[in-house]
Amino acid sequence: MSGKKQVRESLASKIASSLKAGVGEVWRNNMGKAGLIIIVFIVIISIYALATLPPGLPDKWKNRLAWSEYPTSVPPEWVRYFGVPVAEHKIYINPQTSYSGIVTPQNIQGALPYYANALGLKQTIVGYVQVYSVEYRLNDPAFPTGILTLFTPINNSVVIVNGVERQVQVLPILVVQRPDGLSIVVAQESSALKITDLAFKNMSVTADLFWRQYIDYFAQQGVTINMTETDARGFATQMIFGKPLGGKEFEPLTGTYRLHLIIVYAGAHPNAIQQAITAGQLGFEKIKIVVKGNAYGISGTDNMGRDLWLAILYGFPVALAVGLFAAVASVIIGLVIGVISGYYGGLVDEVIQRFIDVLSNIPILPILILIGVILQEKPGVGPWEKLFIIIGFLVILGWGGTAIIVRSMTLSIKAEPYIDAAKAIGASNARIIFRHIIPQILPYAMASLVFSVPGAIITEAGLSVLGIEHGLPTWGKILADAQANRGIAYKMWWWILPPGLMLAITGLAFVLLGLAIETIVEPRLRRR
Amino acid sequence: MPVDRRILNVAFKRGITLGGSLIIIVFMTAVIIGATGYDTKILNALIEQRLQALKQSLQQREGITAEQIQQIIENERQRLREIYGLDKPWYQRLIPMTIRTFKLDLNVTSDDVANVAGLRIPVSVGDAIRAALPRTIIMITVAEIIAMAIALPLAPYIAYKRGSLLDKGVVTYAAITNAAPLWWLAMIAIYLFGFKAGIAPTQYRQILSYLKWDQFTAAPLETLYHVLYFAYLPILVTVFAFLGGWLYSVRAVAIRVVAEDYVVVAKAKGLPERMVVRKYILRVIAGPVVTFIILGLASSIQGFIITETVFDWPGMGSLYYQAILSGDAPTILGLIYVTTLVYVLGRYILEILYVILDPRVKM
Amino acid sequence: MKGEALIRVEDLKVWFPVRRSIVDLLARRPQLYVHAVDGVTFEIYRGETLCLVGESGCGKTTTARAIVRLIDKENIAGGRILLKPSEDVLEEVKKIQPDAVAEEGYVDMYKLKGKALLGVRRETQMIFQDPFASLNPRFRILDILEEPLIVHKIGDKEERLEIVSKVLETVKLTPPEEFLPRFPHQLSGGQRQRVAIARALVLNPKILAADEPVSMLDVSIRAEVLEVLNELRDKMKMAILFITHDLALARYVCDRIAVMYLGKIVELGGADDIIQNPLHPYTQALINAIPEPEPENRKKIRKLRIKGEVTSAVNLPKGCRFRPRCVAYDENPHIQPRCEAEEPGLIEERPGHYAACWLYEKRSP
Repeated sequence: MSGKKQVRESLASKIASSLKAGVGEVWRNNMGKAGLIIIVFIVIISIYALATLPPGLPDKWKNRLAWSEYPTSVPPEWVRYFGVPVAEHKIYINPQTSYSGIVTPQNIQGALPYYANALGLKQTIVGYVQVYSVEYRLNDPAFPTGILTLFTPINNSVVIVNGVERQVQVLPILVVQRPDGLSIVVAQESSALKITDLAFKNMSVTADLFWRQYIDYFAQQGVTINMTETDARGFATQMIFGKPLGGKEFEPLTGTYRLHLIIVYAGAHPNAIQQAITAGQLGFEKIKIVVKGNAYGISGTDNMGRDLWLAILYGFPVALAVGLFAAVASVIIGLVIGVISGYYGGLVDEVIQRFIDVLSNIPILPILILIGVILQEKPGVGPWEKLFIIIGFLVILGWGGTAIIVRSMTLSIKAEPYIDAAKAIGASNARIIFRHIIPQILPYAMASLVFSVPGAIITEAGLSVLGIEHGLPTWGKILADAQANRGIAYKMWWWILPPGLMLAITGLAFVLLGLAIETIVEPRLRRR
Repeated sequence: MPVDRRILNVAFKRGITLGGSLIIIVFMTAVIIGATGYDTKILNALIEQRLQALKQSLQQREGITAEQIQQIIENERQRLREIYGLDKPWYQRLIPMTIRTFKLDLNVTSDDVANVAGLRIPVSVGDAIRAALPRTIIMITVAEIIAMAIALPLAPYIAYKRGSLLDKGVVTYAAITNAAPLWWLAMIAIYLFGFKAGIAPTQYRQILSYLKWDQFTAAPLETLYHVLYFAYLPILVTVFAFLGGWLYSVRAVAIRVVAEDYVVVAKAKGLPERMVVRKYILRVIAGPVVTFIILGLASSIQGFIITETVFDWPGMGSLYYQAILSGDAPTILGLIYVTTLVYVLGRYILEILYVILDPRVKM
Repeated sequence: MKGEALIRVEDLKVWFPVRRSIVDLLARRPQLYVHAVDGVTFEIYRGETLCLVGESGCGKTTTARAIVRLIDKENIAGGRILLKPSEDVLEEVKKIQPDAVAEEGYVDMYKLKGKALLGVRRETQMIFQDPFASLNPRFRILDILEEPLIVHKIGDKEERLEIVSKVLETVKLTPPEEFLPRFPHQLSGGQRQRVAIARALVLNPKILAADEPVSMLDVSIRAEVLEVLNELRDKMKMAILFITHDLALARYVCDRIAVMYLGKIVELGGADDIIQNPLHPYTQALINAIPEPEPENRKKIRKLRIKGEVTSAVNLPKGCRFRPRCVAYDENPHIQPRCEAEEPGLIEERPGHYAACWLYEKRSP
């Protein structure tokens, strides 16, 4: 009896074993193997993306201000391995304090030599001073694209001196000490302000502060710089990190740069301020100095400074969701309707066939664009909702082909004697359809499902390129932005190439898998 | 059933279904546009814009009171609303609109749409389509024909040598071009050939000023040169993308034939390869291949909306896109009508061809 | 061997409509039908095998399919099929659907529906011609044999396995456990046909329609399958309708033979009777065509007693439908007016031996 028991399989193990056999067969096919490997990769990356990307990314992507710390329109960092000189993108968080104490005109030369030496310095600092210093090494002959300082002050701007509340004011000054010994003030607030107000300030460099002195300094060394104040504004970073060649030409000056962020406290007695700072009641929770490189990350940035890698990553799960949802839904609809049409025949069949006739003549893309544009105008529809409404229409317009083929397969299976045998037994229509007909069609349906994945992904991306947005950072959206902001004209290949490549590779994986399934299924279909 | 009666039967039956499809599709598009209030919104904005301009010009005139201006404006608003049919609810506009679409008796409402056609308002939808169509034919239909011309003689040989390196290469090429979007290839091509190498134009809208019949008759060679200058890159990219699909599908049809007994016998007899391919394979695959050709050509005239947009190529696809963006309902309906009509006609011709060519087809 | 008739087919007509084109509809051409079965009457008794013999297209398979109700109701153009189910099934039908119960404990096959039909289906089963196509290639033998039991909700898993194993032993596929986990493609043709028989037997039916069950099998394994069928008839007292185009085989298998031509039975009688003394010109032609096993006899030049091609089942000739091909018609001018005017019915020329031919019309009525 035990021998007989082994004969029986549970439905789950049946499905599992046939799936295992199917995957095995695909694996033995070279194209199938390549497709499977890529798809596994895509799935792993998707899971990684979902696990690591911040949940607020779609909103952040739309917010221009959120990307101010990033260099704009720069290529990926790995271009350095292709001989492109790269100025590193560096973020310094809470840098070392190199000096803190009371500065007077008498001790300034000793305390802040670089400041004292900064060209043409007219104002003299008096008061309690903290200096944060960092080092930036410029190895390649390349210009960084900017310096940005961000503050997170402790939420208090008051010290109490002798029972009296005093507003503390601060003046931040950024000095760059160049490898050639020159020190310049590159950034400074125009006047002292309440320390808590610094939270809303991103301090960036301006040539206004140093251009005159800079020109004079190099004039003494025999280099004539031909620039007005307005000209200089456009060359601030080149001036800071470069050596003038005369006229408006600069070449990068490699070496170690020292950046000093000088915070001058005023408004109360320096001792009181010092006490408050030491007690942790005053000062900064966080200070961030960013030297913007001329290259960034794995994928570079776009014209808003957005890190394209994040959107590339985000694109993986979205593409999978779009492709699989559209493919699964349209194949299931096509399968069910095709089987019904073929099995029941008669009037039902006629109605379905005429309906498919109409469907197959619809120009799909224009209708999808029309719906997309209309959807665009509707307020209060969330990004995912929009995405799935569009895919929904793609499915509604797209199941006809599968249904036609499934119907003709059903017709031929229906004529098989084993279907007659099942009828003679008394099997119900549902049993015949689900147990006898659909399992025969399933391998074909799998091939057709896999084949329709790339089409759905590409169509969705194409709609994005036309400006039909759902608001998610996807491959299509990156390309849409590149297209809208003339990324091609600016030769920003990193903006155009990677998202398209991702689309192509994802599509290719499914095409290869589909070809493999087709070569496996095809002879079986023909044998029937 | 005798063949002629069968043809009559097919012609009648398919005529009804395909014609019915056409009517339903245009009507449903009109419903989508009307029911969502999409065109109403845009048309209202358009009217207000025109009234604003009118008001300004009136105010500059002397000897006219504010009341008179108001009166003129109101009259004009009424007149414009009637022109655009906004005086009636959308469902009452539906049937007249559909009927006028079939007569192509509608006018373009948006300046941008007229611009794409290279024309100025007032212009009829028919004229706009007539203007855009040759440009799509120059790019996409020509590309389709070139791809066919390469694939048709080549694919049967590839099928004959199934499993060879050439065959594998073709399958891989087809898989890649199937997976990579054409419009992305277009972006890359403009980047590489236009901006990087500088051997192709970067602005394609200018073809408008060269692709004109009177210009062609006046200076044929020069015009041809200019047209080719603008068209060669779009055509090349499209051919590159299409060729894979053509090779693959013709090969797939041919492979079934190659496996047939009579081809195997012909090979076994030692007939030269060229003869086997020509006599035994090409003839048999003609049927399905004609299907590919007719449907390919028929659908090519609707243009490729995204690719044309990327090239800024002022063809049918761009016209479609601009019409949808501008909420230009008459142009959208006219385009849907014309492109669906051509496609449906292609299918109609095919169905009748099937019966004429293959008497075994049962109806 | 008269006994209780388990199945009675009375003037059964199965017509299939010819598809009309739109042009035909507009021209108001009348609907045409293929007269696949055109007035067939016979009965099969308990423990008897009746053979339906005829050339392909004569309606013998349609008749078999009609008996197990594989023909759609709307294609039954006339007549009825009466079945005598077992007592409990009859009681059930009486309860659920009294209008389907005919006289003398019979049920009308084409009045049954729903649960009542399902109950009666247990009593009628069919074996198909092609053992390669009649078994679902994706089902294991166990799945195939268990399906009827599941559909009819018989037994639990263990009991079903028990029944299936027993049936496999009946058709001599032993040991059962060796065959149960296999797929059809892992079996030989003869084994498959025995699986198909086993599937028909699982429900313990009283009536079995076997549609050329051995025609697709190698001659060497035909005997074992036929042996199984003969045993069933004798042991289980089934009524078997055996369809074949092979008269020699019919003689070996059947108790009685019915010869069909173009949807009608033209001759009916005991198997030996028909082979030795065929009455109808068509039967005579068929027997004439049987290859002669005796070499000595082969030397005689045999005349083919038939002419022309099978007439279309759509446009039947007036009068006798065999007339266009009938040699006897040419040879007997005296009956010609009769043949042209009227279709002959079955005439009992000898006891229990009927023929539908005006040659045997009683001279003095």
